[in-house]
Amino acid sequence: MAANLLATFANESEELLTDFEQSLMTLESDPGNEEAVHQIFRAAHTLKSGAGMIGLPPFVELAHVAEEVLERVRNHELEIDAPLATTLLRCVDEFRRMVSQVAVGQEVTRGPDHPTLLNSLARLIVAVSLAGPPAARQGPVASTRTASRVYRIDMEFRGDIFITGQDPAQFVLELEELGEVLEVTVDDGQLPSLDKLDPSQCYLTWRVQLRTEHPREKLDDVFMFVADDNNISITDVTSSRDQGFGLASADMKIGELLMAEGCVREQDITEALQHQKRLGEVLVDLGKVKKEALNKVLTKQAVARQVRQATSVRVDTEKLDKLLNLVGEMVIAISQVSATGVSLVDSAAEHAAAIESLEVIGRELQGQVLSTRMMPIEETFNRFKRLVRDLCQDLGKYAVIETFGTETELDKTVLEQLADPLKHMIRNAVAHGLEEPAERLRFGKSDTGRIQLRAAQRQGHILVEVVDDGRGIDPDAVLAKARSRGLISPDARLSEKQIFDLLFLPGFSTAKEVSEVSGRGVGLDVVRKNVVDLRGTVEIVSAIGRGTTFRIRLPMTLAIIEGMNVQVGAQTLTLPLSSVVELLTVRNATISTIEGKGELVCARDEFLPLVRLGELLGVPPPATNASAPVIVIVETDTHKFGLMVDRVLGMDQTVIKPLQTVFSLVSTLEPGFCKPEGVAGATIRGDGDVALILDVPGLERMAFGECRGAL
Amino acid sequence: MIQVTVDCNGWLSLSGEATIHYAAELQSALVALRAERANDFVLDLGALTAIDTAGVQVLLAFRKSSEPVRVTSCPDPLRAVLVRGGLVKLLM
Repeated sequence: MAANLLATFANESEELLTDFEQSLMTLESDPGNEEAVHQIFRAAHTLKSGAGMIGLPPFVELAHVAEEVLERVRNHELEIDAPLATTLLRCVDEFRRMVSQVAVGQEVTRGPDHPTLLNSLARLIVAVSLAGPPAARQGPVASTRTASRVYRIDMEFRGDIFITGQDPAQFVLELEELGEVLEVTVDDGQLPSLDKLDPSQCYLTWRVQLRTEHPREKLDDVFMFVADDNNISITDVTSSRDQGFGLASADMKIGELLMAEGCVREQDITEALQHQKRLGEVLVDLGKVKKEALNKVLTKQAVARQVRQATSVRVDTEKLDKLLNLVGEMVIAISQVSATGVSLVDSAAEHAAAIESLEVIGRELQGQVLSTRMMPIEETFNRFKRLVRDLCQDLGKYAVIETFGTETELDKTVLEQLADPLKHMIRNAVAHGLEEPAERLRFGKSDTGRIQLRAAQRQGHILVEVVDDGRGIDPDAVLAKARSRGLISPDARLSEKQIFDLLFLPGFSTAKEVSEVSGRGVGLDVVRKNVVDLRGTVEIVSAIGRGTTFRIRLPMTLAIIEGMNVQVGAQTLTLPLSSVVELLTVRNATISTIEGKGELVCARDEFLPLVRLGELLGVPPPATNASAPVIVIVETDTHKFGLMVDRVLGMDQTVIKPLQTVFSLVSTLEPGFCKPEGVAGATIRGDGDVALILDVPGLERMAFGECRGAL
Repeated sequence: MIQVTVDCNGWLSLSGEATIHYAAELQSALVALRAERANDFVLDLGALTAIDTAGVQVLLAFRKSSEPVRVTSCPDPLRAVLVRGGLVKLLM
């Protein structure tokens, strides 16, 4: 199977499954929503066709019963209630599991839930058929006749079928009503001798070839009552039968041909394929390669496939068109530069204009390329609707989830890395934020809690908030706990913001009881770490009885940063401009040294700790002190401090190179020059120099330790 | 009900219903017969009023374990059922 077909299937399935999941949850709260019914049905159908095309029997069989059930929902024979929604959501999970196998090139297997799901859906179909008015099903689908097709129907019944009052041979008669039975063969190979025979057991199996103009669904209807626990398979053999294996057989696999000929059954093929060895195993058997070497390569391949799966991005064609236009313009501008360059003396002004237009195009190009990485946060938000639903079911709570600003676009990498911290905060909100329904009613609230996920773009940043209307966090309780754990000194005076920040310290948890959902106090510190890794910040705002807000502030993109270039010793370093508050020349600053607290600088009547960046990073001081040092006042979430540098070189937009590249660059610098703690990345400057991009919160931790504010 | 009679020539007549309801009776009658006699049989289905897959299975098993058995004179309605169910090829 072509790898790109599989990859496309994996990609598309993920989108379809998300649609499936979302529509299900919409239906659960709004059962009359016809559009959701249609959407979910289409999703199931497309999934089934896709899986059928690339040959995934386990996927197809489950998608088929799901589609059957959904068709009954569409025909108003069945309503999606909570148990059915749960079953279908579990199907989504099972589909996802199988898709993930496809994505990494593994063989698709049936998961532990698979048979149960198949059975419960099939039973539901039977129940509907028994109870529901057949009139509904004899609607447009039933009356549609199509061009005649030939089906092969294999029937293998459970042993005790007679006890259910059914004679298997009757099914042949029922099939006859749908068209022309071309052939019936009965296999008595399993029939024991007379004395061993159990007359109440069925030992015979049937194979029928039927030509019919009825749609496939009508054939399925014949077996509606028995499809559940008997082995009935219906195969369209029109092409092989009608064309006598002419050209069609050229594209068929040998197994398909043998099946069409009636030589083997589908399960025989599946069984035989399990014996088929893969190339790696054959090579090991032949002694051409060692088992360990094979395993190593296989692991590598699985990881690479996973990475490739995670790193692909879908780009709007409109964005690609714009890119193409820009590249076209750039080519023209370059040719203009070359042309004017030939006679530079005569056309200096033209040359400058051409270069200017090249710069404009370059910037636009950069913006467009970046925009291809941007994706709306909607999908990420939607994923959590399921989480909230499942959590509420487990915890016996009620909650609605509302999303705002779903069109807000974020860098794909940011979105991916944001999912985990968001999940954690939402779990927190449902498990600990929201009160039990009875408690909510006692406080005069609705028994249904409200979780809001909000996103917005603000001043070059993205704000993402998780808001609940639950019990809120009691700052006194947090403070008391921090004191009892010795995290702060007994007489420390903290603002409410600082108190809530304590929640992000490793191991801090205020949950009175440990639940399975939120685990044991592990979490918020990881949330903060993840957010900080994205060059973002996170804070908590809370009011007792009214609820809690987790507010994450993130940069628009991870790829570009507005930076201030500074010189320390012989090194050029870049500080993110978003952290810079102001600059002071040492000449005009008041620096004082306080015993035990180090140097302080007075900025606007405020004494701030002063850090000599060169000393902190271990960069040797400049040989000659030509220029006066400058103090850059920077701020993190919680604090301001001064960084003393030798010179400020200017500001520009900097493209951040990936961290792997950074480390290889760092190793070329003086040994011990920099600890990764204070480094966010690196960039290559216009003059070809490498500059490290500093991480201000990291510098703060290096200089003052983990919880300076609390001490 | 099902009745099995046999003459000295091995002409074996079935009458009544060869269905799931009497399949066990039919089986034990045939097993007893096989134990008594080892000659060829002609299975006469002319007096049967009904037959189903369970009945056919017993007859098939009988024929398998005591070849040669010939099956004869099956009433038309029954024969039609056997034909359409694909069972006649096995039995006759």
